[in-house]
Amino acid sequence: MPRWYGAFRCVGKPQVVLSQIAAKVRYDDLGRFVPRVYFEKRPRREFYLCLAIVSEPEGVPPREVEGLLALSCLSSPVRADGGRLRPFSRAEIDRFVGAGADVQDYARRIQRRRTAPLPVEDPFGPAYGEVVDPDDAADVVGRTALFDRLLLWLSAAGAGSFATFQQACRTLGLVKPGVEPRQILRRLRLLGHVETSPDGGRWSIAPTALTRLAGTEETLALCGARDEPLRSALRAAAAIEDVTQPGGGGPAALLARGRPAAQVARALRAAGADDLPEPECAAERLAALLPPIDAWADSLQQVPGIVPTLYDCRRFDGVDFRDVPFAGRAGLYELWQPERDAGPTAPRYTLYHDPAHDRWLRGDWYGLRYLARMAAGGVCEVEWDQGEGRLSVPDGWRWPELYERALVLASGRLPGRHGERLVYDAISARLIDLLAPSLRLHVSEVSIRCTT
Amino acid sequence: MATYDQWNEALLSYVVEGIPRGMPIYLGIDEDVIAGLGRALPRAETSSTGGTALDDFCAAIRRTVIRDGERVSLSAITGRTTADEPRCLAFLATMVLAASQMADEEDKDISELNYFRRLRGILALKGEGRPRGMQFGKAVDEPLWQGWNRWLQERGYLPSALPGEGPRRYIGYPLSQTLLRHADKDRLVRLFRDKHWRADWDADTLVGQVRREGGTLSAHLRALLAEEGQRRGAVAEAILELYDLWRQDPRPGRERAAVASSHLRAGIFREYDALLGALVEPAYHLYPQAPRRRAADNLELIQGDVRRPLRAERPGWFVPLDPVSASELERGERYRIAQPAEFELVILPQRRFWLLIQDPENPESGAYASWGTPPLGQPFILLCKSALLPQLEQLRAEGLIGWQGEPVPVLDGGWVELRDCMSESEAWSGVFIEDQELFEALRPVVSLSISAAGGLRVPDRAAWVNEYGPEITVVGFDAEVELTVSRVADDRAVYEAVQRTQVPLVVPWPGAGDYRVEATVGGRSVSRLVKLVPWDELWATEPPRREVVAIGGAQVAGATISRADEGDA
Repeated sequence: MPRWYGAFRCVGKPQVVLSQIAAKVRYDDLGRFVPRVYFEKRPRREFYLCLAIVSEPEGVPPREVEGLLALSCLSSPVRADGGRLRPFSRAEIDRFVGAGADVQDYARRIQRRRTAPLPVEDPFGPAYGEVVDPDDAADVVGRTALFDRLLLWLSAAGAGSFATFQQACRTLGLVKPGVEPRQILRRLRLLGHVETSPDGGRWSIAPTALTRLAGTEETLALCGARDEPLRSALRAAAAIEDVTQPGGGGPAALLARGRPAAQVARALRAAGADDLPEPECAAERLAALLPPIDAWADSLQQVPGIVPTLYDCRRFDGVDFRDVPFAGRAGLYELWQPERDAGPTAPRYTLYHDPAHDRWLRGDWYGLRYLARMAAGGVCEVEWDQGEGRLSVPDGWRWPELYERALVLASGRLPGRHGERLVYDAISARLIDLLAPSLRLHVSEVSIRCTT
Repeated sequence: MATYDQWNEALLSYVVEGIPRGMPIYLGIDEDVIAGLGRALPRAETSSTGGTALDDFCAAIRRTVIRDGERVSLSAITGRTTADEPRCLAFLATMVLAASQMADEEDKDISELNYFRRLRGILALKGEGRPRGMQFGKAVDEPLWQGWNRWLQERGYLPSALPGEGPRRYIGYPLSQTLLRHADKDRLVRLFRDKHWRADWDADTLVGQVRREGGTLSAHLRALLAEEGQRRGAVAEAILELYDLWRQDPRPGRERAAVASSHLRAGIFREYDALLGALVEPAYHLYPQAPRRRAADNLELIQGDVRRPLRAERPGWFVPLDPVSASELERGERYRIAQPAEFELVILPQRRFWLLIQDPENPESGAYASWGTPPLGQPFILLCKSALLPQLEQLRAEGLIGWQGEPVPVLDGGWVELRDCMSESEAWSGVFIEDQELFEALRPVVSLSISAAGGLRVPDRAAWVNEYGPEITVVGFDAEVELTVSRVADDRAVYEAVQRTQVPLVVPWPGAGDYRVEATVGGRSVSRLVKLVPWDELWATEPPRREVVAIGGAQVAGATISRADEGDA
């Protein structure tokens, strides 16, 4: 059906004419026939308006709009020979009313839905400010159940984008101030349940594994993908203990005891975990693989095209980020978009600058901070209680994530907090021997008394 | 000679294989299809003396449902097999075959009498009207169709078999399943041949070309091309399939060696690191479609000089491969399939624009790809040649489409992305742009759609987890619709309301199960399925791509460590 335009000379206030037309179009539901009205640019007391009319043949308005055309404000149409309404083309009315004519739209329209977008969150964004509830908090059991559900869901989904992970955490009600999706994802990586892509944009569930806790032969922790049949098989094969994480901050550690590891593994394979590897102490094996910290830095993602002068730079000074003009020094930087009207609420990038290789590195926030502290000449002082198998690390020197994973896998549990320090359980002498040189630790043997 | 069960299985594979979830399923059975399927099934001894696959098919049906040579008994084909597949499909196909024969030859006399004359012919029953054993459509035909519809919905497909009006109620079901008649196919093939069309088009482009020949088409074909709603896509796919088959083998349908094309189409899958923003350009990965109408394993495609295994990503699609270059996108590309021999090519069609929509199974994922037509009211990304911008500006000036921000140059600047693009108006009549294909792609073809958002999805099963079902939003040009949520298992309404459009609704989902959400206004209706699975039925799945951390010569994935040369950890 063609669209053509009828022109009318009107007198009066354009707003009054418009309201009369609008009322009639709406009352008679004429949006299909008269989708738009164009007003002359900067109309005066006498002005022209054009109705877009959808009908065939051109120049013959449909019967439905006869009532509209009978309005007194449209009583002076521009007529063709023979007295009929003269049809104009779009190009003609552009000359007629001007390209900048005011337009009134009567067609039925779809309004854009204003759904609240997911908060933009950098998977490598700042990890500080993380909240871990006290162990006796009333909702530890409830939160643990929700984290267990999250792990079941991750196992069923298999893989996805960071956005899907964010959405799942929010839907399950796990997100609150101090517990952001990126922090939850980090905890799950530490526990050996998921892995993420180098750019942090994608995640996938880790393969199902039974890992022997450090220093034990027959206590196993279940890591990675799981479902109800697998959990049932594990319950049938060994004595099971669900140990909540400190503050209910993650899925419960599922510990199997009392049966030889190989026997438990066979039972799980029979239940469908075909590729389950032989149980081993993943903590010690991982620690043995980890390179010196400098080599780890070389493995981080390099971000191309960063021009620091385009951003407002803030540099980590060991405690906080401070505004500094960029002078090419090594360190951890927040790069903020220059102030706009509303002002950005988060840095555009958080990156480590390595002037020796003229590169900007992206990665685990704690790991970048560790590099920055080392670049500033600091040393990570840890305390180890050999008798209790506990290791205490200053909160401000939290390790790069892969190194910390070796500590967490040793017990299957996230660290507890003891003042300004993080305390890890089941840390063997072998683990300390493997990790201390890589991270250039200063280890002192002490007695650590706390409950994690 | 193939048994009823073998025909049933072959038909099931033909009907649903490779169809993405959420799509409508049409049986579309005619003599060409039976002839094609028959080639892969054991034949009767008479086949060497002139018996056809159709004869074999009819004989298999008769052996199973005809008693005493004069009575139909459907007791052997009701219910489901041990694999939970419907037994009735081959018989439903018989009914569609009868409807297709009737529609072919008696365009103006579609009646129960004529339909049953055809059905009796297939079943070798004498007489007229409903056969004995099928006297009551409500008790015999309808439950079979309803059972088939239920089975489809449980698997995430939209049913398309609908009853007819008044006296045509029961023949409406098989008639609703016919797409292209023989006369339509013959006319289309003549058109392809006369116009010397050989190009690697996709369905939209091909249908656009056919539509331009409107004056030379039959009234029925013109009506088919003007179809709106879910049938439109099925008709377009059927025309494309015919085009591909004809390009491979120009013999008439019944003589063709294949029932499905050896050419696969590819779309594009957009990968974009939103966090790095303007520092990186989106990459557009080759996104091959899985073969329709038949199962296929171990396909390997050659991209560049490298053999790439095609791994299933979801029904209808393989895992995206390497990014395509600007020149591949510009001129289209053919990628050879190394194996198996029954497949020849994956075709990336030459297009001036691509509509990239959010993942229909996981809109929150941030992924965009050529998964289909943008649902009404859902923003999409329009990737197009820069030269199309003036025409798009014209549509925007008319208030028909809108987008957010400025066009973003990509792919060496010859292309642009319009982000958050949306068709906003229903008044597209009378506006003309040079690129009719672009116009048709952007013009809303429905006035109503249903979106399900939020909740906790189980991506691989197109479902949600119980207790975390989705919010439902009806998008449409009308202000209000009648909304009904029914349980598929018993067709009982569990929620009914008059609902405002564009306003999300928190549905009180009663528990795990399959639900059909239907919105109706002014005689038009649209439906979609929502499946809620209980927590204890969440099975661990193997991720299509496993993320690993490489350390030296080892790969770490969670708590597992393997040597890099062992592959996945």
